Amino acid sequence: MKKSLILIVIFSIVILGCKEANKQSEKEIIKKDIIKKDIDVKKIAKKEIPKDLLNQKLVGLVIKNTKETDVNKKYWVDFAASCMCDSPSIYINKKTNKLIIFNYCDNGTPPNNLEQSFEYVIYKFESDDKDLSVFSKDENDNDLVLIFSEISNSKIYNLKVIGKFPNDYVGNTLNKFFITKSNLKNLKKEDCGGFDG
Amino acid sequence: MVLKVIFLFVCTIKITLFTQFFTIYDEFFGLNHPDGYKNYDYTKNEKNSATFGYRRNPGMRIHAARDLYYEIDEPIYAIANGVVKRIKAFYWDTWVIEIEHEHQHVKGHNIMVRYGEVNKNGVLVKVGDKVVRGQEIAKIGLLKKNGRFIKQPGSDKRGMLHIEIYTGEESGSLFGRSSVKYSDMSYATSSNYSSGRSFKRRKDLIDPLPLLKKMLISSKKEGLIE
Repeated sequence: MKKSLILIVIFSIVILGCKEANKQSEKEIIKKDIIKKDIDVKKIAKKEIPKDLLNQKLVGLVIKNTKETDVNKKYWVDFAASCMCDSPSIYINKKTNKLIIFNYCDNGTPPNNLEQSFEYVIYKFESDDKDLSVFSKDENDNDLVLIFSEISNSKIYNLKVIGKFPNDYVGNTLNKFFITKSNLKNLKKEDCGGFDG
Repeated sequence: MVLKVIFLFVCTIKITLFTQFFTIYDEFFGLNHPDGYKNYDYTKNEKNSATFGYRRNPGMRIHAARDLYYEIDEPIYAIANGVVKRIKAFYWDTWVIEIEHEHQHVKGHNIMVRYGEVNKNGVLVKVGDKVVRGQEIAKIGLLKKNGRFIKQPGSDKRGMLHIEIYTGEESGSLFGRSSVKYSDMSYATSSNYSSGRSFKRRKDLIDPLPLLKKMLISSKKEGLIE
């Protein structure tokens, strides 16, 4: 009886020890992963902030014609944004350090009078002449990092997202390409005339 | 000859079973994709573009329907018995079918249903036809404009059934009602009205969701859909 009891105790210690060791290694893996991600982000992020991305509406674009070399003809505001109101727009407010995500169809003038929007507090900018990384958190401390990279001096930016981008109310079709509202006038958008759906 | 007899026998059994379903559950017929497509759950409250009351064309319109995403050319069924009242071009190479159904949402009035964005070459009924619940009336269309197709979410070539329901209390055209203000609507509401938008539809428009839910329940009971 005593022997069995001793065996059970030894067995339990071994099992618990293994679990502890596993937990430890899991923690190390997560830690390494976080460090790796941090390094990855820093690789992208560099010096100054490209000012045209700040304090104005950024509108999502899609490629209309892959063969076109003129960027003003290559990209446009498509049906999803223009007619279905299914595409989010972005506003990076440098004055208040807020990142605002809202619907392309919103009638308000950002950053004010938006109908439905998501706000993130920006805690860091990193950039060079062409790229901008915006590090932000929402009220629940969820991270959202947006990395804008300019496509060959076109004033059109490729967007990479780290974290969960919101889609309720603001639109499910998050586009890969963005342009500032001031440069949008050179591009075409889908004509919704006749659309009644 | 033998094959023909077997075929007719099978058809007779199918029709008999179908008729039995009608007598047991004389409600609505469910549509094929009741759970919505990805983030386009049409049962939500104004959260995504498939929902009733969502925004359309910046600053202009409020969505008057629930959008049920399908693959192109999937069948569209009559939700209840009724009579086809109107068939016309909708927009961008799709058509719309309007049917008065034998169901009263408001006592004394049959509902009117618009089945929109159907394939113009897949319309299987004509004006004046009587339809029965579960009858295939059309196929899902593809939006095309100036020779190109319009991308619907998640796929290069996806379609939808745009479904609008009216109580039938009013008369006249169901759509193109630019002069009908948001405040004129008898039932339809939306949190998106505040910027001067309106449904641009007849006053007796209702949110189709309660009836769509009923369809789902009755069709599941009957084993017509999973």
